[in-house]
Amino acid sequence: MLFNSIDFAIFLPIVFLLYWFGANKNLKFQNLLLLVASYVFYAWWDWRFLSLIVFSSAVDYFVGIGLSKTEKHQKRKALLMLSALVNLGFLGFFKYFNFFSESFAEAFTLLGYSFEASRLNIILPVGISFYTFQTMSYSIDVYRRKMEPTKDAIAFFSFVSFFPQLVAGPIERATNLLPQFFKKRNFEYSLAMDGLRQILWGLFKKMVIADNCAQFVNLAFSNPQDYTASSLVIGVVFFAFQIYGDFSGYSDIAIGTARLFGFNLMKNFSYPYFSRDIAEFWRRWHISLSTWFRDYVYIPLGGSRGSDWLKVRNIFIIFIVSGFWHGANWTFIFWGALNALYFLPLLLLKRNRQHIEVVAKDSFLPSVTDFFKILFTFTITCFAWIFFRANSLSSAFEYISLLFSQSIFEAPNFLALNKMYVLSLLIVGFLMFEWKGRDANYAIENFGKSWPKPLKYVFYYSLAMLIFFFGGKEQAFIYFQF
Amino acid sequence: MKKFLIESSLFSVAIIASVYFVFLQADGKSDPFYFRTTTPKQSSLILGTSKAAQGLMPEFINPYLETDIYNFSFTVAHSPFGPAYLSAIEKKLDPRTKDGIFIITVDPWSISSDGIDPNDENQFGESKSFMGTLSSFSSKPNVSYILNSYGDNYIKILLNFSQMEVHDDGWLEVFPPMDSTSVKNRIAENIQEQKTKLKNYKFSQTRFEYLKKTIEILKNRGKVYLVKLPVDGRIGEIETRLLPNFDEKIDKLAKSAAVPYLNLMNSDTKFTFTDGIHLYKDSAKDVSAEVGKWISKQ
Repeated sequence: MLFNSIDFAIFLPIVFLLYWFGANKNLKFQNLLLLVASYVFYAWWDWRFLSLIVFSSAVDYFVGIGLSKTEKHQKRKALLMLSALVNLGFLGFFKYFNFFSESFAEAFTLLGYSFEASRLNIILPVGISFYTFQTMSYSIDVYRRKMEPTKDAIAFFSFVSFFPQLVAGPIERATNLLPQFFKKRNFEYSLAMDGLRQILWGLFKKMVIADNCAQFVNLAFSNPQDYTASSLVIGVVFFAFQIYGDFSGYSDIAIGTARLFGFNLMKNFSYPYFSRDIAEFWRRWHISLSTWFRDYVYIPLGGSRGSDWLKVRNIFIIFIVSGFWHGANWTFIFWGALNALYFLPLLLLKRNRQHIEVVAKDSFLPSVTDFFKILFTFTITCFAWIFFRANSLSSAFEYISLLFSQSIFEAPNFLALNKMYVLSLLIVGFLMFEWKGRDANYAIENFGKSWPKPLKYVFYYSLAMLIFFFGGKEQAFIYFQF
Repeated sequence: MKKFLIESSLFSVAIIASVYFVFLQADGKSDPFYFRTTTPKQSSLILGTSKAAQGLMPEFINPYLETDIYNFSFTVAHSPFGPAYLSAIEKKLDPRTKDGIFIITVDPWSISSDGIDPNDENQFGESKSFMGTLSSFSSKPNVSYILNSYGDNYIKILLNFSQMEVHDDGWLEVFPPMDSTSVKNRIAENIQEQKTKLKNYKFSQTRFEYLKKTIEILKNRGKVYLVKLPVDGRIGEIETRLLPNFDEKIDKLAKSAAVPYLNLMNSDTKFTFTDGIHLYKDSAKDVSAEVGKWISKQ
């Protein structure tokens, strides 16, 4: 079920009303309702893959209980390995089997041994990369004794499959989300209104910014040779806004929806395109994944301690693994490696934490230096996005070679030029809101807070009508495929 | 909670009412197909692809008929003969119709398919479009069409930048620049496009059977007339390459089904086309009058 579909617009109020009016007396009943709703939400896409979520949840549930019953290091380690094996096994099979099979075949062909790669016709279960990481975080945290395991199966299964963030995150930590299933949730008007506001903003990002950008991006990346270099530049810049609008829009809708049910999910994006260097960008982009890798991969590897060589190794590992998490394609690995290269000078010069505060704090505009830093960071990020979006490395390099041609000085040659100009204006407007709200959880969180209520509603109504009038064609969220 | 429910409900009602109001504004300029899905059920129909949609004007046929005819033609992608179009015709047809007039335009594309197996109904692309999915072709506003098949941002419903207009009688008027260079360019583009299409399209016996079935069903509701509209000679040559024995096939079909057949490709009249395929409105008037006269003589 897509957040931007009529199905979800009907599903959400029904679950909301049942949750607060039918099941509000009993916490267990509320959790059970959330579990059923989450499974219905997932089964709407394909009910057969529900078994994977149930199985993953069951494994980690029993691993948690097993961990609580033993103090033996070897046994605890074996239980953790079981969780990793099952979760990464599912992920490896459904997401990476064909990639590894083909890559091995290609490698052997290069060595002079030719054989046919065995390819399986596998459907990638939606959200598998997200919920496997979420459920694994529980086992790891219990293993590390950061939290007590739960015996409440309904709460645990609900935590793994919680529908607002089931298919595209934020990837929640058990330490943050699971305890919320044990506390009585009371309806709070301000929390629920805030949730609706964030949903509205998320829909704007997804339907107006991302879905409209997608039309131009698809044209530019499908047949780059048909377009002038200036059009290809626009194609990349629009992709930067497409993926941001799409993914951060999804996160906003997820966080807002969770609020309607009394839950607080972690922030997943924090205005990444206003970053002044790539280190800041990665602290602000897909925060739940970056911190997951930081806590469960990077720090155990030694993090930024040790020799320069170790630091370099760890940075490359973390970025390449993170790239590979996005998809079974060399393009994602290259994208990850490129970001590691961007990051390296900052790390070695110990300048990777120089921009922690929000840009231009307490002032209306950025300084000239900050402005150019932002522009530079955005430019190199866009360059890396080419590898993320292209279907293959050769397509990415072809795109880049066409980008650096004389036609950069010609006008864009998209057929729908007027639409492109209107979209550019919408993006400028969107950026202005993002800039104004850059220290809030989401851009319009505090917008017009002191206004009288009718005026606030005029603003929300205008935003809703903007979504209705300018919303692009309904498209699936990009991160569903990861 | 009460406050939240009241506010969110009022807000939702305001949004839904506004959306519904905008949907009501959608008309013949909003989209090349939408308007035909909103008009009442009809008793006489012009059927076919975009050649008929642009080339047959009910206004100039009606004086020769005892009834008002409605143009229910779409495009070769949406309304080739097949299960989807037949079902749409049945939905658009007034069930009380007994003596309707049905002009069925035919050409090689409308009985061909670009599927791997041209006879496999499951590969007919139009079934996935509104032609195959709409439950009603006579609701105003047609919310299902607008939500699922409207091809652009909804702002276009209110803005009038359209290069075409579907009239009340279903005729599609287009407003292309008609200077000789523009026309020449469009014809050249279409020749190229049709040559490319030729590689993928094959005659479909299944579609041909559906044409027969359409004729048989409509014969029970009135009189059926088969018409082949003219195209530019170079486009005609490509169509002949697609289906060399097309005329023979349709002649035979007309005879076996006992319906009159008018092949306007054999007409001596000089026609003007917007792009080699579609008649320009001046010629569309002449062709429509010619078809009307021909029907009145049958």
